[in-house]
Amino acid sequence: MILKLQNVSKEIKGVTVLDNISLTMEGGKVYGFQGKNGSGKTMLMRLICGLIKPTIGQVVINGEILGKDISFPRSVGVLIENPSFLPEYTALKNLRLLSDLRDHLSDDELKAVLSDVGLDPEDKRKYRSFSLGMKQKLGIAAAVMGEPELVILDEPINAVDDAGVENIRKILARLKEHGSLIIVACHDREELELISDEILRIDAGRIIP
Amino acid sequence: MKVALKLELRRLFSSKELYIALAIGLALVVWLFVHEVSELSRFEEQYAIYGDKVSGYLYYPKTVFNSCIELEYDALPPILLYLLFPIIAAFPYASTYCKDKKTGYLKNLLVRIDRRDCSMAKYIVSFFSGFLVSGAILLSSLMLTMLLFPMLTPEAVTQNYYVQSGNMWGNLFYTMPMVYTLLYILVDMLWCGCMASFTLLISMFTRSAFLAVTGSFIVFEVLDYVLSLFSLSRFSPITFLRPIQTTDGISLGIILTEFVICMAVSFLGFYFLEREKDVF
Repeated sequence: MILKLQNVSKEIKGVTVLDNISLTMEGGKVYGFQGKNGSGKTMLMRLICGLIKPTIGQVVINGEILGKDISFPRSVGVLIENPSFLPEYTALKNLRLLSDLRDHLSDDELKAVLSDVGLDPEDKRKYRSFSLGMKQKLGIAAAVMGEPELVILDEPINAVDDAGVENIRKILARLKEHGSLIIVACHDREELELISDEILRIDAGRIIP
Repeated sequence: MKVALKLELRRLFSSKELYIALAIGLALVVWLFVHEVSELSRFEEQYAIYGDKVSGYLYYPKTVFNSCIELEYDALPPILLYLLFPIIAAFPYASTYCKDKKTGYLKNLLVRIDRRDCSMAKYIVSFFSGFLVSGAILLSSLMLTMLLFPMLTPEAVTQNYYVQSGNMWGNLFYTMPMVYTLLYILVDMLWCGCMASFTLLISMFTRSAFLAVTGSFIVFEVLDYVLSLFSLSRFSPITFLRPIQTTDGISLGIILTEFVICMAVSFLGFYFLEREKDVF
């Protein structure tokens, strides 16, 4: 996968939140976005996965222009800000509902994804009773299930215990081997340096060289 | 589209809001039924004492066609039901779009299915939820009343019925009252579906489910009030939804034209404009 951002800017209510960003990213690598709060990391992630449209410039994924040729990347897993699922269903049922929309994974595959992130696939508790860490793990499971070509994770280790962080590292390594392009934003500098092949610093909506 | 529709229908039937809306409607139905049964019982006591005439008036029994929630005039439950229909119709499902925006679940959907399919599925299921919940309430009232009350063909001369012969389908009411009632229930079901879909239009401007549901209610109530000020109540959905037709001049043309306009506005707004918006 090749993802190109070409002179991308985004203005919201007259405020420039992303300013003339150009970069190329390729599959089989982990890109770490680093920057302080409000620097534009999350906005850039939203833009890459098609949730917001650039005011100027374009995002090109495998030669297709986002918002023109395709509305969203053809194979993408996303965890941006807080994970969100249907509160009246279990973890497995929530994944099943989402998987039925695109990936069509078997029950065994879904259970394996849950185990990978450290959740019990047989847990009958509903999502509404999950702890913050469990919600985050389910968010990661939903983002990586089906091994999408593009994986975008915003603060994936928030509220996750040490064992969970280790699981996330393993999952990212596997996805990288599979050829996925992985974008991670994280406040923990050490963790980001550990998992990323390349770190991109963002400040005031710009990539800092 | 099929998978999106399947997911949204599953959400509708597993939502507690659907059952709360049904419970509110059925509580009004039961309340009215108890009220009507007590009136029937009073009537029987009077009949036993005075026979079929007293003070020059002919006693006439309560029947299905002036006792079910659609056709009762002055009891509180039907007044409340028709007043609250925009909320009852929108409550089970139509606010899910706001909730999905607010919680971020919409992102989960949009990266997996075409945004047009997602919008269309929401629109269809919103309409269906209003259609379903109103139908369940109105039909259950009709069936419950039929358990106990006679299905006498209405006689206008008794002045016990509230539909006037000059009203829309007035002759039908006095010749084939069940057909009239079922047709009007169908009109109400379609309009409640329309009101639920209209909630999606309001959802475009807010992330608050409460505002979306009450917004639709406020729009229809304000419209009713304004139209009544200019003696144009026949154009108000809140007024023409009641099968007893509390005002003159209601026609199928008005009901259908407004239905088409309301559906078109909510569909065009939600389906075409909303999908151009950024999702945060």
